[in-house]
Amino acid sequence: MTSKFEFSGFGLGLRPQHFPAILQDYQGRTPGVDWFEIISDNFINVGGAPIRNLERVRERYPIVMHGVSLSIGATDPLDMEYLSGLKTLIDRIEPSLVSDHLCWTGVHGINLHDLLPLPLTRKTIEHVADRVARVQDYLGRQILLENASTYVSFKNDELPEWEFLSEISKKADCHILLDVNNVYVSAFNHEFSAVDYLNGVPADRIKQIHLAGHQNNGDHIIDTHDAAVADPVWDLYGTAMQTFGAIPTMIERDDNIPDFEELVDELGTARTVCREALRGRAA
Amino acid sequence: MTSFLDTVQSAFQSKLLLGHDDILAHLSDGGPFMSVYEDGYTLRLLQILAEDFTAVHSLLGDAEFEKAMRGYLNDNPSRHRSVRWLGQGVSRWLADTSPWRNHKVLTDLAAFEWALGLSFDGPDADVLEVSALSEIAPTDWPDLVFAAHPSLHLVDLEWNVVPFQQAIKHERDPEQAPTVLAQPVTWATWRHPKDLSVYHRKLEDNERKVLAAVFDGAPFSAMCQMLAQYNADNAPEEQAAGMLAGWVNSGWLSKVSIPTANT
Repeated sequence: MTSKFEFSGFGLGLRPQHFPAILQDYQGRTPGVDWFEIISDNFINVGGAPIRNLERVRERYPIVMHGVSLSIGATDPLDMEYLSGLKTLIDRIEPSLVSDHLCWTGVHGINLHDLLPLPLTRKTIEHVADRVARVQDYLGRQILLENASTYVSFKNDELPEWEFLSEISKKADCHILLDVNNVYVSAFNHEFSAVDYLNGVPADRIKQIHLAGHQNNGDHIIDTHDAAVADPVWDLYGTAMQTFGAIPTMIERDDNIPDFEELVDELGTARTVCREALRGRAA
Repeated sequence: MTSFLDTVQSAFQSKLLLGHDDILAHLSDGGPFMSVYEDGYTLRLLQILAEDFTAVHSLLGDAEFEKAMRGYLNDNPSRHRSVRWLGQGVSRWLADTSPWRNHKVLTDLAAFEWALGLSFDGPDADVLEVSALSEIAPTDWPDLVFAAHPSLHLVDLEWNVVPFQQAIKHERDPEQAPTVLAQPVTWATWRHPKDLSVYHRKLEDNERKVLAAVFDGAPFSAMCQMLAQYNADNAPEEQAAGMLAGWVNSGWLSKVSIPTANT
């Protein structure tokens, strides 16, 4: 992979149904999208059309890699076979960023394929930070950890999530992928202040922002990625940009996936919200 | 010593897999929204299996498919990092598990759908070109051995499931339900090396036997001997060359080599 691009601006999750729209004009880039994010796990040890299409996109755009199975918080040993496949993909794609979630996905060799919550304790911080450091040593680069949406909390929690995330990022010297929708969802579900969350994370470690849609069930919200970004999340995103300054931002959509053009339009909203927030910040 | 994190994660997982309630004692307010994780686990994985086995789903209908796949998930919690491999054991499980094992058509349909998926995104590898064969000295030909491309998969079927699967895949109404075959047949699925599309075709019995022998390490000379037994009317070398050309043009072969004497 020889093409290099500056990583900045606004991106979308790369989904197979959008390959034709993205690659239809092979000479150019689609206006309105600056980069794409892939789900790393979908391209590890894979050949054929998926990897060839990815490489065609990579020839034209910066790519960031986002995993869902690192299981950084699990008590099982790190899965070195998975990490080896991840490293091979990193070498092949040369992504601008590599991220996964602050969660666990299964123990005793089982993968539940979900982003499961961790007890927010000092011991968990030590456990996760140690594993992040080992992952970074193995990959030879810093990774980003994303805050997941959560629907339960633990009686033994010792600190708020934003302090938990901040402590791990500092101890392990890793970066943060801040999912603004997840902040909103977890704040609603656990009745804490989303703005306190934003004010509690270290701005200099946040290297990427996620936005997505959710489902509000009245007494709780589920992070579904199957709808447009909700208005309160746009408001919180504006607050985040005022707080942190401009950070590369993307929209995730994993279900009820609309036409590519519709997502590009939605990304335009992110540009507008960010621009207005930065204007307010300057003032 | 078991840590608190161990205890919590084991209990959480037991709730999702087995419905055990031990985790609730560790959750604030008893975890009023724990069902989000429980429901999400099953629904998410059922959705993945429905996408991987659309024809099995169509043949069984929603209710029976869900019943079968819930049983599969209970017996086979995922042990892979990627959800891509979740359905790896479905065909085998259907063959072994009552009442589904009484319906071999399901096993065959699942095996065929899974093979198509493997051909679609299986690992890339070198593809043997005709030009590479043309450079081989005639005296070396008898000893040549061939390696299969990893996108090639062979599936033995007792039921005529392919027309049904193709109709479902192309969103047409199947002309009829699959029927049992008089004799089992072997189908090949593979990815074309140029356009990367997935193809499939039925193998004649002789070709199946020769292909199996070749991928078991039999050299070109043995391939010719087998064909001479099957068809004495035509020169076996010509038959073998023709068969080989078809395989090469389809991208079924990854490489050719001449074993050294001490290997």
